[in-house]
Amino acid sequence: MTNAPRPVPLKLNDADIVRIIRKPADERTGAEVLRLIRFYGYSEPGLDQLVAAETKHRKSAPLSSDTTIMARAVSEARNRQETRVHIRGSFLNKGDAVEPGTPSILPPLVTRNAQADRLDLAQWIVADDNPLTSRVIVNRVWQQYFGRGLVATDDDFGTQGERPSHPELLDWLATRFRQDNWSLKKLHKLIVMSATYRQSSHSRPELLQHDPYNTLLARQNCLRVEAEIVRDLALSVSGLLNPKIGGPSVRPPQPADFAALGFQGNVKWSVSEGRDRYRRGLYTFFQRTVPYPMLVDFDVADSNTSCTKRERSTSPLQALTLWNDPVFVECAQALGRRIVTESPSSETTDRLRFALRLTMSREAQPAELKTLVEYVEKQTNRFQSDFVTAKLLAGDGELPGHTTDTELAVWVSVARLLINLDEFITRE
Amino acid sequence: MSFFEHARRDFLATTAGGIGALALGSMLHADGLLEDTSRPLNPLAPRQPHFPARAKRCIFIFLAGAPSQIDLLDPKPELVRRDGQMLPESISAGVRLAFTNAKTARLKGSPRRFTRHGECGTEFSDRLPHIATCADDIAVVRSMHTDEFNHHPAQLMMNSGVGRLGRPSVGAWVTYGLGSISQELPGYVVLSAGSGSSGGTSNWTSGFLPSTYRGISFRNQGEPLLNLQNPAGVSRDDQRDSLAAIRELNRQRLELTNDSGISERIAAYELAFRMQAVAPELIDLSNETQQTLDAYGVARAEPENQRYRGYTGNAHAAFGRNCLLARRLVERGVRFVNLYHASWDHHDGLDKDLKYNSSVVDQPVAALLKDLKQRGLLKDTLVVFTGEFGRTPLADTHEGKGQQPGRDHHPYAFSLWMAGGGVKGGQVVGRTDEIGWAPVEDAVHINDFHATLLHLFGLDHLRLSKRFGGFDIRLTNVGGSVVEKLIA
Repeated sequence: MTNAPRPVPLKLNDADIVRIIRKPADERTGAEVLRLIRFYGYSEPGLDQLVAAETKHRKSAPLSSDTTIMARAVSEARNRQETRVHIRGSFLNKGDAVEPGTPSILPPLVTRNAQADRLDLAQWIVADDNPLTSRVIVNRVWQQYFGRGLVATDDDFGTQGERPSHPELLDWLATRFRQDNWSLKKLHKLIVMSATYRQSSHSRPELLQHDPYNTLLARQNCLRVEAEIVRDLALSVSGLLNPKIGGPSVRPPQPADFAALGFQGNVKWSVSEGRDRYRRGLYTFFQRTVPYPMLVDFDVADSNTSCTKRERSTSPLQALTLWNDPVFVECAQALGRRIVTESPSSETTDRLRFALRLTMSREAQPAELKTLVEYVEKQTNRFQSDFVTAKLLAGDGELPGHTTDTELAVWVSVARLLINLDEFITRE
Repeated sequence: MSFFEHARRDFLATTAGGIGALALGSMLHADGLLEDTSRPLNPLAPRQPHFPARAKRCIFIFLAGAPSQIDLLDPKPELVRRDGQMLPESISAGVRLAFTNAKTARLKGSPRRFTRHGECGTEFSDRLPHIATCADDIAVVRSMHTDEFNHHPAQLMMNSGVGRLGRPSVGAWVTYGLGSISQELPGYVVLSAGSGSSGGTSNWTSGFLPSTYRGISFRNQGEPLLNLQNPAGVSRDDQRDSLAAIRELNRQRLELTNDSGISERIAAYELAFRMQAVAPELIDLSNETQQTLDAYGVARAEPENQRYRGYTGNAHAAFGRNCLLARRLVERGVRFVNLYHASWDHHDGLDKDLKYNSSVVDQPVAALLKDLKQRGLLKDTLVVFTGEFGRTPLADTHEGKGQQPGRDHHPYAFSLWMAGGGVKGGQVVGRTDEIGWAPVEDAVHINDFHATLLHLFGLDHLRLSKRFGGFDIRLTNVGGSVVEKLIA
């Protein structure tokens, strides 16, 4: 039972152990055997630490979703209410009485009892002979990757909707999705590994002639990323991003008088402290009456209504946000420092190459290097003659070694420029 | 921008002369809107209405909290005579009010004195002496009614046509339909004075429309627009250099990818740069005459007694300034301006608080009307003056609290007025019963009011729609008919 060199000393309160030891081995119950193992186990030198570590580790295990997620459930009412059509949507203007049912062009609803209930509907939604559900889902995922679904009217597969551009593909994806046990992960992987997805998004004049909307997908589409991701990108290239997953929503900085426009001037936007300032955009608290302005500028979905497709507008206010919003200025300052400290060499062109790889994930083009070198020269001249301004733009943080405020200010300017390029917020 | 709109512009921006523009119209999924195929890169570029417009701009004055029509715009001598009596059972049966019990509350006549004004002889209460001098330009609608009797839903109803969150506001619909005349300022601007409204920015949201069409909050002092100022250490010249480099690098990318989204981005940066110059000039009132400043009352002091509902210590000056800024905004081609003032929710202390609030808004609003008229802007600038609902002819007594009586929320009847922008002034439309409980003549639902407003802008409320969630959604929801009497 133990490798200890000497017998383990028994303490006064170990009477139970003494009793079990005195019992013949074959008469001991399972629980008693376990007790003995535990007893000697804990007595092993050093083992107590391991056991403590094990216990601690077990406690940190995620709780089963069975015990942590609370979901509202419904049950059928004993006495069903009569349901009538509301004429023009008004509950005061009642039309014909109706029974539960599904559209007649789809497979019939199989009911377990005399009248259909919610469980029947749930089973009908995922029934093998119901093609609609999986088609709608794969179409939405497709839309996310191409900017447009195989059925362009993603929220309308009915007679008012558009016909699919590639019906066989839609059907194949939908069937496969179901065969894969409705695994979204497999569906995403399938799409992003396809040749169609991996095409270049660059267009050519003849493609525009033949297929102006790129319905036939001879190329990828350029898509401006969603509001939250605009923020994530800037935080991530600057190294400020706090990648923490989950937890309560956070409140990044915004002007106090702006937040005060909420309900009767009562909204208090207390800015999150520490690393919570740099959380991803999707963790930003959605204040219903005053949503976070940066997100709204980039067409975040109104959280009050269900939304299947984001708008993608381009506006001067977006430009002002990326240029001047303190959050993005802070990102530019951090990115400028990063370029100065992390670039493999301090040569201007090397730093520019490094910065472009960081922000655009590609190698620099000769033409853009030329433009950027000129910009660097101009900025250098400006800041060399104006240290005060240079210090202001370089920001309060510590100066990296061997750097001057002038030098840093130049690279903060470059960083700010890169964050403001169309390509930076575009998925090509 | 929907994908289609995006793609259309993609096509037009990158092919010479918009080849096949005619065929295009039929290929596009009709989103109900005047599909102008020559729509340029800026989504706020002006677009043609459905039919010739009377109004080109709108200043929408919103008195959040809901002012008492009975003490301002809808005189009820019979209510005064029956002061203290009960509501007839024929009315009180089945009525539910927000805070008052309709079966036990007493009728409350207005202590205000109403007099006739202008050639038209429209009656205004003594709380609106300045606005009354514009009577001949004003059409008062006394027969308004709404579906909602709590503030936030009712404010949404008045602003977006339904009492739920998520729909675009009137200003968003109008700028979506017509774009903006100004290319250097947002198309739809919001200015607030007093305490905030219940609805907050949901009152001027673009809902499911692109965020380009939402109302942009302007401050009336300091930095007028969020993120307008360059960060510390960046001068206007630096910003110009930055703009030039951004333009050049974006252009290089455009050449490589042929993605017209880049052309839009380039245009947006040019606009933003111009906006940085124009917006501060907008709120700089140094070139206004002293006479103008005095007329609007931009420097008016607050009364010494400060115990008013929603008192913020600067409403007189701020609202005066906002009215003047509204003129400057429409002068510069901004399509839609919202002026908010709160709060008018006078459940108690009605006499005292109404006096204060009226004194905040009366003089500057009248100055605005006269100024617009004198500059020839009133004929195509619509001015609206409204709250979200009315207030009860019953007293809201808050018994036992030692407060002076007020009035409760009243969705069944309220008054608003409109002027300019093709509205037939000098008239009263609609009539309520003798105690002001409900309309008895020409009832105007909020959907009807919106249909009329859009009509003045040359927009057919049935055709101005946007497909969302499988429906063609419009400002007037499933109702609305144009009130012909209001149109000149």
